[in-house]
Amino acid sequence: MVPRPAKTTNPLSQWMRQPKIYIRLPSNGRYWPDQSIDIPNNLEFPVYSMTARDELLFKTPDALMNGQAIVDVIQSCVPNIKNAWECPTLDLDTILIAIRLATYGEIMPFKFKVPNIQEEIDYEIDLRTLLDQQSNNLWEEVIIINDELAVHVKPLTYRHLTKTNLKSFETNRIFNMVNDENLPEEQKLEIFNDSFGKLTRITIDLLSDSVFKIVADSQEVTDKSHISEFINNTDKEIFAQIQDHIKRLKEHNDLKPLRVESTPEQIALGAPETYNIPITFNNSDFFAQGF
Amino acid sequence: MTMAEIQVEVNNLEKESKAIKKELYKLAWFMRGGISLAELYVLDTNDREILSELIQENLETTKNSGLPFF
Repeated sequence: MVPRPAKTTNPLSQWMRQPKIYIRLPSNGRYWPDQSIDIPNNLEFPVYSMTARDELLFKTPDALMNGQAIVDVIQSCVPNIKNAWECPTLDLDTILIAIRLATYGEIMPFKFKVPNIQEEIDYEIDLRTLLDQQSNNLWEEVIIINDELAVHVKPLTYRHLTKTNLKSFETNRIFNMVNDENLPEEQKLEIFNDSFGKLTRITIDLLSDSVFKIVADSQEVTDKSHISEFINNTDKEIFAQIQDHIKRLKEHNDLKPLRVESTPEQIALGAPETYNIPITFNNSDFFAQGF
Repeated sequence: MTMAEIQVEVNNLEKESKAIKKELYKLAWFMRGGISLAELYVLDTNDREILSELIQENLETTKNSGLPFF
């Protein structure tokens, strides 16, 4: 049997770095399960810069794809976080921005193409502004369905997000296969129906995972299987009400796109007067070294 | 992302990964035993920049003083 390499060669390695910044999480540690986080008394989490080992993790395609790279780097740079798979999506952007800021500084270079004319523009984002925006993140837990029924929801975790992304990737791959002209129509239909079924299943599972308590006639229900059964069998109005509530919170908490104004020269070439550039956390872009 | 775009991204990541490793090996070599490769792997970019500056200064000193470095 091949021995596993030691995690670190020097037991003092964790003392080699100093915290670069301290952040407050939008959740203040709520929604993190026990043992997954060590919450400081002042709620200020120290953030360390990435090591060369962390940077290499972000250059490993499989680890990026399955989410392990993000989990390992978060746990390395924010040691109070013990299990980043359980990180609520409410806190995720704040943590990633803070790690980027601690490692490469406040300014993040960024490239985008002007719509219609494809001119490449170099831009710089001040990460302190993004971090400030994150402090406005909020979560409203209770959805009052009627006088007798209230649904309590929590943010999804990074584990859910990764699972969903992998399933979406797989589904997209299947949809691309369906577009193959050489496939017989019956087979295309079969593949399409199967994929559509899977997508519907993902939506229901995610909604079910978001609900952690239902209060019906003053009785609290927290049993996972009962909640799941309720979500699977509830009428579409209640389902839509829960879905809309979560969607509204997601839109509020998502990073706001960059509003850009075109120059008169660009407009003359066919660019729109103004346009939005989404700020995404594509790992390879976001963590690419800025100098 | 199409499969072709993913392949381009994977190739870029491999190149970037190789560049980081090369930087670490170079630093370890120029530090002449002053720091091990394992220790370099747990240093952040700021510390690696400081080491690079230190090496640059030492190279300049060697050049100016005429003492052997290699």
